[in-house]
Order: sequence, then C-alpha cells, then structure tokens
Amino acid sequence: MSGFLCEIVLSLGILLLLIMKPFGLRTSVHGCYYVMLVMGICAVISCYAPVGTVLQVSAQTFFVMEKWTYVVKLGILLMSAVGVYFLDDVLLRMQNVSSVEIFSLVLLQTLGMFFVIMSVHWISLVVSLELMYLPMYALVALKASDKRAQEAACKYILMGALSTGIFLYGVSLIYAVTGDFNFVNWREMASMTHAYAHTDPEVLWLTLPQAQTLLAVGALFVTVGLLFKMGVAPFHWWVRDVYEGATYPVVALIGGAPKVVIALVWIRVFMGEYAALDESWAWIVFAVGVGSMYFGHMMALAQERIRALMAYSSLAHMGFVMIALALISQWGNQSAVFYTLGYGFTVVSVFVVLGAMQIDGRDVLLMEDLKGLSKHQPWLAFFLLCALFSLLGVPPFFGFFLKVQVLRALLQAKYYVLAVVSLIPMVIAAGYYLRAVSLMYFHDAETGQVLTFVGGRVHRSYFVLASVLLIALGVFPNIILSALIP
Amino acid sequence: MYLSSLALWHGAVGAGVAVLQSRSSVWIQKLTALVLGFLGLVLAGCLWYGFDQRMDYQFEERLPWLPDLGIHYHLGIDGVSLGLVMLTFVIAFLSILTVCCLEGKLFSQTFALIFGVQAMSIGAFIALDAMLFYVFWEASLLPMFMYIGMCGGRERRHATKKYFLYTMFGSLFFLIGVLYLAFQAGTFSLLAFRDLPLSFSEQSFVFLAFTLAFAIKLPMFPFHSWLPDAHSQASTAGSMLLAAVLLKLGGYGFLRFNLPIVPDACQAYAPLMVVLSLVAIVYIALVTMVQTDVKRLIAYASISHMGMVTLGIFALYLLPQHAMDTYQFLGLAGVMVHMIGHGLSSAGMFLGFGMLYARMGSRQLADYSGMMRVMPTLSLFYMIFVLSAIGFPGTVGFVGEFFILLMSMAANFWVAATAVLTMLLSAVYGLRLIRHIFYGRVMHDQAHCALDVMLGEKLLLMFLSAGIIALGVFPEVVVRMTAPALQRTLLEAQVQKF
Repeated sequence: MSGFLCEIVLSLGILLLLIMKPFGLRTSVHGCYYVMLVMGICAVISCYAPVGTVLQVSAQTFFVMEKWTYVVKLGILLMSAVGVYFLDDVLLRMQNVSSVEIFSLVLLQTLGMFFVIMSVHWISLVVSLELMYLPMYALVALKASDKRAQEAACKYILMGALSTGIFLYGVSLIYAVTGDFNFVNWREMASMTHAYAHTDPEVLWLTLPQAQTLLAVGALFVTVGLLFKMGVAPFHWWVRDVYEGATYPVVALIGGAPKVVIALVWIRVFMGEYAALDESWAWIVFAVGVGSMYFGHMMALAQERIRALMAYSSLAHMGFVMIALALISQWGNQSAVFYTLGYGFTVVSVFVVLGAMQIDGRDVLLMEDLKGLSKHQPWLAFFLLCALFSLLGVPPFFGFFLKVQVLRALLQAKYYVLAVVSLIPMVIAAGYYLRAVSLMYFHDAETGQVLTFVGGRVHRSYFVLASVLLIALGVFPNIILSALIP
Repeated sequence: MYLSSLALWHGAVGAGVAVLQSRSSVWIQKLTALVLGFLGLVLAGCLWYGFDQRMDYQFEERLPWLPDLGIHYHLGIDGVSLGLVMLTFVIAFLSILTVCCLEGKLFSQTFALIFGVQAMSIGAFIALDAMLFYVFWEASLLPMFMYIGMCGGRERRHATKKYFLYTMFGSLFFLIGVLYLAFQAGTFSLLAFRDLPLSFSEQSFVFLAFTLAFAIKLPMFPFHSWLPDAHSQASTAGSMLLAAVLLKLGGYGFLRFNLPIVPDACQAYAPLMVVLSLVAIVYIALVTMVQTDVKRLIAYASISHMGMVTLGIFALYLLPQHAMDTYQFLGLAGVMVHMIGHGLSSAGMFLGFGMLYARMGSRQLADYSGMMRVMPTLSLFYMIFVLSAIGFPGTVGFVGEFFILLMSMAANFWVAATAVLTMLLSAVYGLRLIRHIFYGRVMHDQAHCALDVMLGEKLLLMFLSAGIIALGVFPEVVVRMTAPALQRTLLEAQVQKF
C-alpha cells in the first residue's frame, strides 16, 4: 500500500480542496499555490516509491509500479504544475469562475493519469482513462459565456465517449477470447495452442483460427480507440476545435501530458508480439502515422490561427510517435516515450507563453499577432524561437535528439524507406515554424498594436529557464536520455 | 592542448559576450567584438604554428558525448580542415570589421550571429564524428537564417526561408545516410566509416544521400537557385560569410565524406558529377553575363567557381592509370587553393560592392557609372578582387583554376576544353562588371557626393587584396599545408571496398 502513497496524498489533496470552500477558507486568490504544494509533495513521495509495487484485489493485478513509472509521473506533475500556475492568472482575469473546482479538476486529471500509467488491467485502465478525461472535458468548457468553448467541449465529450466505446468494444472481444482482464499475459494468450473459453464450454467454444480472428478484431478496435484519443489522422476531427475553443493554459493541460499517457498505454497494451497481430497491423499504424504527419503539417501550413496551427502540428508529431510505437521494439517504445515527454514539455510551455500575452486587451489568436515580438518582448520571442526550432528538430536544440532516437529505432528495425518518408514532412513543418519565427523577428509590429506580457517576474524567468534548458539539453542530451533507460 | 575546442568555442563565447552587451554603448560593443575577432586570428595563428605536416589528424580531442549511441565529441584537424578553419577566422574578423564600418543598427545581435556562424562552421570543419558534424552543419543554418532575415533587403524573408528549407531538405538525407552507416559500423566515428566495407548498392545510396546535401550547400548546378536570392538579400557581412565560409562546407563535405567513405560509388558517379560541374561552369557563367543586379551577378559567379571545385574533386576519377601519379594530387591541391582563393575574392567583391551600396543605395548595375573618378582607391582594390575571380595570373584565383585545368586535361581532353571556357566567360562577366561600375562618365548626381573609402574600409580592402596576391604568388604555403592530408584523401579515395 505504501507504494501508492503518492496517489493517496493526491486524493486527500483533492478532498481537502473541495471541502475548503464550504468552510470559507480563502482559496480563490492564488489557489494554485495549494495545488502546486500538493503536486510537489506527490513528486517527492513518488521519487521514493518502492519499485515493483503491485495492487492486487482477489488475485487480479490492477496496478503495477515500475522503475520508469516514477520518472514519467514526475514529468506529468511538472507539466501539470506549469499549466496550473499559468491557469491561475487566466482565472483571475475571468469573472464568475470558481477556481476551487477548476483546480480540483486539474488534480483529478493528474490522478487519473497516474492510475492510467500504472494500469495492467482492462477495467482499471478504462476507469482511469475516464477519470483522466472527464475533468479535461469540463476544463475545456471553462468559460460559460464563450460559445466556441462550449461547442468545443461538446465535440470533445462526444469524441471521447465514442473513442471509449470503441475501446471498450475491443476490450470485450479480447475478454471473450482470453477470459482474463489482465493484459500482461497477452503473449501467452495469443500464441495459445488451445482455445479458451470463460463460460460454459458447450455454449462458447472457439477454434484457434476463430479465436485469433476475434483477438485481432478486438485489438484493432482497441487500437482505433487509442488512436482516437491520441488525435491522429483520420481520427483527428476533434483536435482543431478543442484546441481552438479552450483557453491557452487548458490547451497546455490537454495537449501535453495526456499524449504521454496514451503512448504509455499503448506500450503497456501492445508489449510483446502476438500471433494474431501480424505485419498488417503494424502497417496500418504506419499508414496512420505517415498520413497523419503529412496531413497535419500540410494543414498547419495553411492556418492563420495559432491554436489551430498547433493542433494540426500535434497531429503530425503524434503521427511520428505512432510510427515509433508500431515497431513494438524496445528502442521504439523508449524513443516514443522520450519524444512525447519532450514534445509535451515544449508544447505546454509554448501554450502558456502565448496565454500570458495580450494584444490590445484580447488574447493572442492569430499568427499575425506575433509580428514584431522580438522588439517588444525579446526574451519571450527568444523562448518561442527555441521552442519552435526544438519542435522542428533542428540541432542544437533538444528536439533534434528526440527525433534521432525515433529514427534510430526505425533504422534498427530496418524500415529504411519509412525513415526517409517520415523525415520529409520536417521540411513542410519548417514552412510554418519558420513563418512564425519570421513574423516574430523579421517583421515590425503593426502600428498601434501593443503586445503586453501579463505576468510577473516568476513567469518571465520560467521562460528564460525553459529556453536555456532547451539549448542545454541539446548540448548535453545525455542527462535526460540516460535517465529513462531501464 | 585543447586548441581545437578553444577554436571551436571561441565563437560561442564571442556570441555570448555580444548578447550580454546588448545594452551597452555602441562603441563598447564594437570594441569587444573586434578584440574577440582579433583573438580569433591569434588562435588561427596558434593552430598554424602548432601544426606539423603529417598525414593524420592533429589537435585531436575525444570525449564521450552520447556513448550509448556511439556518438563522441571527437575533434581533429588535418591540412584540409586547417586551411578552411583559418579562412573562417579571417573572414569572421573581416565581417565584424565590415559591420563596424558599414552597418548602422542591431550591432550586438549581428556580432552574436557572426560569431555563431563562425563557431558552427569551425565545428563542422574539425568534427571527426559524423553526428557531431551533422549537428554543426545544421546549426550553422540558424544564425545565417536569422542574420539574413534581420539585416537584409526587401525580399529577405522569402530568401532566407528558401535558404533554410532547401539546405535542410538535403541535410535530412544526409542524416539518414549517416544513421545507416552508424548502424553498420556501430559507431559514428568518421574513421570507422572510412574502414567500413560496403556493397555497391549501399555505397550508391549513401553517396546519393551525401551528395544531395553537399550539392545543395555548395551549390551544384540543379540545386543552386537558393544562392542568388540569399546573396542578393543578405547584408554585406552576411554575403561575405555565406560565400566565403558556408559554401566551403559543401566542398569540405565531398572531401571528407564522399571520397573516403564511398570511393567506388564516387568512381561510378564521377562522369555524372563532372558533367554537372561543367554545366555549372559554362551555363552558370552565361547566366552571370546577363545579370543586372550586381549581388546576383557575384552570386552566380560563386556558383560557377564552385563548379570548378567539384570538377577538381571528381575529375580525378577520370584520370587514366598512367597519369594518376602526377596529376591526381595536382587536382586536389588546386581544389584547396581554389576554395581558399574564392573565399577571399568573393568576400572582397561583396565587400567592395557593400561599400558602393552604402553610398549609392542601389543594387542595379545600371545605377552605377564612372565610380573610378570618385572612388579611385576602391576601384584599385576591386579590380584586384575581380581579377582573382576571373583567374588572372598573379592572383590566387589563377592558381587554383590552373591546377584543376591541368588535371582535367590529363583526364579528358573535352572536359578540359569545356572547363577552359571559364577563363573566357568569367573574363566577360568580370570585366563587364568593372566597366559598368567604374569606367565611363559619372552619370548620377549621388555619385558625385560619394566619399572614397575611409580608414577601416581601407584596412579591409588591403587585407584581402594582400592575401589574394600573396597566395597568388606563393601558393606553396597552402599546398604544403594541405599536402599530407590530400595525399591521405587520395589514398582513401582509391580504395576498392567490395
């Protein structure tokens, strides 16, 4: 039980937060500090969690804690903390918003994410996924008066429900074949030499080919459910609207850490090889990944609104991650986790920096609003430069090594043509990342437009630190890259 | 002695210092940049002084960087690198002096970017680890991209984006080639790549991947369209850096990567490369002759000269067996002298034109006439630069072209006959340039008010001209410095790997 101290503390923190308001304790002003304190305690605790902790109830293993789990938890906590800190400012600017519930939603989302990455049981996975996603749906609908936000939240809920439904259907098929909700023993199940039935043998008895077909179909449904949640083409239709409708810190919260979590779910679910899932499954995911990359980058090229651009670019980056994940190799999984973590951090920081700026009293919405940023806010512009080039994957920034890891995984599995094909979209991406940099540095601001930074010294120093980190990690990437190798 | 690292990170230190001084007065910024640039020259002198003429790499440093992936921080200088590193230090210093004299704003950022380009280029020239080389190669794009975009002409945004995208496209293929080789070899070290046995199809793939990147950088004929735009939109110092240093990265890449690692593929594709070089030499020279924008004219002239460089590198595979011993070294020596000479002369041409542009404000050839009467000093030095570009004996431009032509004559009569046309065609565009700008009557009122070159500008012009004439009369200096390294390259280039 002590291994799950982190989650227990988090749950207690949420409960405390929720009962604070009726007791009249002031949390509306800078309630984020409370949240971050809780998260900080969790982070410290999780560093000391014993490895190999297992939560079992009646001989069914629900959660497993592995060595790398706590590193990912730290990453998720950090991303959420950044999002929360900047969310606080946004909430202060909005009226009629109760920050207590909103912070408790963020904590619930974090708790859900923790449970998801530790799940080894279908039921616990689905329940944790819902725990993770429901707060996110609510966070998108933060501003009750904003029709766009409401529409985005509706689309998000519908898509989320649809994807969970598809996922569950796949789970049910797999359960029908294997009779066990635990997915650590897939390999045995899939390569079984005899059919297995969990109900009355006369009623449901499968032959081996039937079992393998059902397993394959179930796995396909599970795959599609996960791809929906990741937001890759052709399951991407919700991404743009959700990113557009939500406010910037919320986009940071829903665009950063959840991607890491879904990548980890994928790794857990599809670890090992199956007789039922052959090359063709991998090729489906490769096709989805490559298509997502090309589609995402090309659509982003045409966007004028920043959040839509980042939404389509997230499509493309996650497509790249999918290609790495479909390899089902140790290198592929490792590189995918690195990539989503690095991408998550960068993207969270980009969204919060955009959210911390205001132009003529309104949010920064269009690419054109970035014009002349280098003159008004040189450090913010420099941070955006580092972040955008890191996302593009140009040395000497950290993002380059993340890309190299994935390429290495591809080449090790001897997919040479795929490696070339997945690199080319980088040039398309450069089209719009360079346009953003060009707008910031090579253009002057429109006359009369004033871009102000809404934030204090701490906010500004965060961005300076982030840009220094992006360069420093690009020069010494080993600090991070050797930390996650199990 | 950690001289390699010192040379490499000197630029980073310079960039950092320049950024930190962004709020100081302009004089302090200029002074520190000049002092640091001069320190760079001192470093170049130290490297020269400590260099022995040996075949292997000197000032070698090897530290683990990403040992799990087999990537090391491996630096080493041989004759080829030394020449180009010294050229980089010299041109960087001259660029800083140019910015001090000619440009009017954004000093600290400009100095930071120039130092950045210097650091990344030197890193690429001395890296002995393929991934390290790639990091520096790509990273050199960033400060140049920012420099052209921030201090450039009216179409600078388009030109700089084109430059970045085009070069990055080639580099991606280079990355794939490097990763593939690293898988086969187990490490990213260039020395391991050199010893790696590869089948012909593997060599073909790697050769094409590498060549695409270097051909875009150099640039070679079908991939040259980014250069005229980038040059015409860049500021004077930017053009100097681009022409003199960054273009040489392509030539260096051919010498360091293609020849040792995939020699059989080089042998097989040599006719294709020679044909492309000849097209660059002749066709691009014809294009140069009709240009109306002076900077585009000089840019196209650069492409034509780089065609000569690739001719020198690949025509050596066309040499018949009996002529191999005598002429193969001559060809590569000519390539080195030509690269260094072109660096100096094109920097000079861009510099001189920058001085004219600062006074007259136009890049069109038609807006200049009779400048010799108003600016006689500049005319003298500019003539020397153009003579070097033409390949006039007495200047370094002649030496390089002559060696390459000698070698190509031994290789194939028709190749040499076509290449010799460069002498004629370059004379046409060079003298046309001189005639339009400097001779004739002073037509435009603005020209009457133009002041002749002042002290700082005179120093720049004298320095470059002295270098051009000195190397033209004593090319032995360069040849002796690079000889052992070139001989080693030649040995590696003729290995049969499968």
